[in-house]
Amino acid sequence: MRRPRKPTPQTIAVVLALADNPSGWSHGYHLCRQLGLKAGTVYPILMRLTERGQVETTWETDPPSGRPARHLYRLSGEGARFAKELRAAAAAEILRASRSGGVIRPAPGEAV
Amino acid sequence: MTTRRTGWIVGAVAVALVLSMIAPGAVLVLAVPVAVIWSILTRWRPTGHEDRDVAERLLAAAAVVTGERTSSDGEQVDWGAALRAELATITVPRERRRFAVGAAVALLGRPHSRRSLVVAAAVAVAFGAGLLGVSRAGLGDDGLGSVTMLLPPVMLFAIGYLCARSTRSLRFGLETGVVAALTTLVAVAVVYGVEAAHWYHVAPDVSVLDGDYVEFDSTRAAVLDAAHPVILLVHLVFWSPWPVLGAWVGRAPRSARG
Repeated sequence: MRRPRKPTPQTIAVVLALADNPSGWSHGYHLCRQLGLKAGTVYPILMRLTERGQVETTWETDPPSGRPARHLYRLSGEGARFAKELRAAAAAEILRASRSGGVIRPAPGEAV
Repeated sequence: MTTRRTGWIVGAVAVALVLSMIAPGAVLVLAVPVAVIWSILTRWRPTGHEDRDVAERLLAAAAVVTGERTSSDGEQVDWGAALRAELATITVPRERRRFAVGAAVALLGRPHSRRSLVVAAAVAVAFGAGLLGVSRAGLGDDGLGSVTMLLPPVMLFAIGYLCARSTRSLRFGLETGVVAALTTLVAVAVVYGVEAAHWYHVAPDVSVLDGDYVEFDSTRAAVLDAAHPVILLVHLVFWSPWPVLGAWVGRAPRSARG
């Protein structure tokens, strides 16, 4: 049985950014700008999360004329559980670091 | 037509003429698919947006190569279309180029699936086994060179075509065809090595490549003569256009539908 890989800081950042917007849909380019990451980083993460069923996708239903409908992303139920686990793990790590006097470096895009 | 382009065409014609004098068969096997691929690439334009900028062209090309991906629930996700739609919202040229490069990397950067490797490995094993059989059956006849030069192009074209056609993904056809070419080359090298040693003991001084008389002073010399890197490289050069062409032809009906 294959062990699940530890998510990268960039994946964590994308998941948490999507989790911060639980009711609405997010645009890929908006996520890139929000997190300060390149499209070549964010989109493979979105593709992978979509293939795993952790992100749901849809198309904009009423795009302005002259522009194609954009692709939208949000966490699925499974993705929301994953985000919750990531938050719990991050909190546990912060707690552990504070007890040992260590420093935690924030993930890309995460507020310090 | 630019001077540089004219130079390329003149150079290509000169090389083709020299090759046709040396080996007409080589021109047929190599030049025809290259010419067809070149013709497709230079004539092909995505429909509807002839005035695209560099960013849009780059992303459109990457999207055509990669085809569609499937989410966990089996739904087709056209990531190429998604990224192109996102690019359409960006107006600053520099930002458009940066986004297009990143998006193209995202589309092209990951392997389609392990199926390519499985298919390629199966093809190589089957071809290697068949080649071994032909070698043992035809010991002392015409050698294996004609088989290894002429059969794989047909086989690789078919693999590229079928893989692209069955999945509607040019990328899968390309990946599988190219990987199959490499694994088949390994199989050919192994069979050439084994058979050169076998022929040396059973029918010394007969080249496993063409059945001609060649004087070898050792098994090692016979093996090196057959499985020589230059011989293998020539095979690869001859084969390489065919999986590309097969994948493109297999993908073509969907492109035509737009």
